[in-house]
Amino acid sequence: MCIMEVCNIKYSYDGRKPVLKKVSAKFELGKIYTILGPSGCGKTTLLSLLGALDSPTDGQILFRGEDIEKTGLAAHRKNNVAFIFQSYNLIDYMTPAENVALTSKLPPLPILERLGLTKEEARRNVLKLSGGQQQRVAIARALASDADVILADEPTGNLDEDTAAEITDILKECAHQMNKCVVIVTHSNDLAKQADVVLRLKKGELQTKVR
Amino acid sequence: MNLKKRAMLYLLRKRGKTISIFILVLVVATFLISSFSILNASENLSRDIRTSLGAAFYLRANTAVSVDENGESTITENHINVSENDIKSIMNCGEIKYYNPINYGFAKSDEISFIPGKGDSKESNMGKVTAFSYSALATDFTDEVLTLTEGKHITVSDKKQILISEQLAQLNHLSVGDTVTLTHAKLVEKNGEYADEIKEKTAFCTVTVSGIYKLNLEDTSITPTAGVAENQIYASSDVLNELAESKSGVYTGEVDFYITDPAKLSQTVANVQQLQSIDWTTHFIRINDFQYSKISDQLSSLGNLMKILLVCVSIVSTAVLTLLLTMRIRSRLQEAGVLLAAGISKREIVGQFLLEVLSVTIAAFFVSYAASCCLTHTIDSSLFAGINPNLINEQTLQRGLNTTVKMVSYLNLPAIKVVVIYLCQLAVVAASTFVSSIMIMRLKPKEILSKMS
Repeated sequence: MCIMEVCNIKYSYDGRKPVLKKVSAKFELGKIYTILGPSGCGKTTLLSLLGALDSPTDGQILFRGEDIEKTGLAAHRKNNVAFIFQSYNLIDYMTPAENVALTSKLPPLPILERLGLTKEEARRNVLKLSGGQQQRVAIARALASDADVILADEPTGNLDEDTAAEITDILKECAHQMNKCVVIVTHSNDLAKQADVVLRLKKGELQTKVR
Repeated sequence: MNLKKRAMLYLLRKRGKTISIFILVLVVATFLISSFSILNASENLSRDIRTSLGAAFYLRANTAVSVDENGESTITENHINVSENDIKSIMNCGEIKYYNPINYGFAKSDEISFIPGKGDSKESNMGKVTAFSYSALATDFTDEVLTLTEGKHITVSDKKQILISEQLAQLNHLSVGDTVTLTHAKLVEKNGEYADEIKEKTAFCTVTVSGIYKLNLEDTSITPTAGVAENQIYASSDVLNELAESKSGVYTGEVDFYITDPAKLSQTVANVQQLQSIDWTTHFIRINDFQYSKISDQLSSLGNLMKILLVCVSIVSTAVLTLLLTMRIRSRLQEAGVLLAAGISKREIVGQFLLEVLSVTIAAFFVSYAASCCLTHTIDSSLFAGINPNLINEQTLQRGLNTTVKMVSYLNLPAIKVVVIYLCQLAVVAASTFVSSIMIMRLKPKEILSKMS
């Protein structure tokens, strides 16, 4: 089922040189999408547009058929999408449980435990956790928000191979077992291999490859 | 998680930052409250001085100088001749608060042995008597030539009361509350010898020692016994009447008038000089506002100093506070970005920042109030100790004008002013936080997150 669609979107920073040229794509629930491409090609920009962190210069982004500009960008961020960042972006004066509770009224401990954190770890300051544990907290926060779309920007970029594999498995579980649409921007071919759909950005244009 | 909980968590977990804001607000608030207290005190003091002692003018008699055929000049001291009706007319000429009519005379007593002066004899052993309504207003007391050390001053309601010097009291074993009987006397000089012109004593007055004064200056002049400063007797108006040396309601010494506002001294004196009932060829007026000008210079300097200090403190503290709050908010760029990405509205994020700062500020205000009270008391003793406002009221007229008035009541800033100062500070803190937050919130979430990375 198509949950989100980008229709002929264009984006440029200075109004002259376009970063994205007439990009169109569809995103479905239960699938993992990876966006690949060289540095500076606009991958993160596309992710930001999907997450309503910015607006396209031209074109539309539809969520369940409705233009997100019309329904409201803040409402789209709050209700429809959740972010996972390369640098985790956890609130540093909160515990993992409190970070998860930021976006959800659900009890945070079961979600954290499901992602491998102990109760004691869930009550520590987030800065006292390892990188892998912090990224698990970030994923838990995304899952707790109950958003249909999870947007992940280089989620394994700061992690070692084993931890990166664990995180990748969790993201796959999110898509395939929890029926989320997971969109991942990455440089990692290993991660791209796990995706159901690979989107490759080149010179502002998108090429789609379905596995 | 709502903004109240987020704010509370920030304040509790970021203790260093919370304490730094708390201390800064505490210092600024304490300085501002203290500065405003002192400014307020100097203004109130100035107002009280203006409306109490303010200024005075004295109605006195001219001194007549005559030259005989041999070319020798003789100086004759005239007496004023002012009745109660004249005083009433003068009192209507302006905002005159008190008047102090003065009569002069001499007195002897079988129970008092006066300190001997030049050519002392049993006959010339007498003291000069100055009778008036308010002894505290006498120039000798206001100029601190004399200081009341025991008892109380004479006021208009006192009858048959006197003040004597410490030396006279010691010599005659007199203390406050003792009574002595005085009789009339008149000092004359015959062939180089001093004598009492009133040989037959017919008027007597039993008086009570109301107070004892000390001389602050040493009297080195060579005078007859009656002229010795320590023999001076200050008495209530009725004493000389009883001794048949003056008539009730008629004043021959001088009359001193004290006006409410020194700014109106010139106009009041001009009005008095228009009165036809007083013979201005034999009377003159001397004005005196030195008490006010002496103190007002200090107050003016203090007031100006406080205003400069206040402006400096306000500008510097506002600048430092704004800078610190801006830096603090900017250091929370990442948090703002994360919260925005999580769909939390900009209004809620700014609300959280405001709630945090205002909570700390209000807590600092409570502590600053106590701190400023301590500081103002310290400043009180160092800045206001030398200022003697000489407020005229029933208390000071009995106790003496030179008794230092406690400044505590002056330094206590009215509650409404404290609230206004705190509200202004609160507004500065809120505005600084709001403006700093708005500078961040005007960015798109992506720009914030880009800055973060």
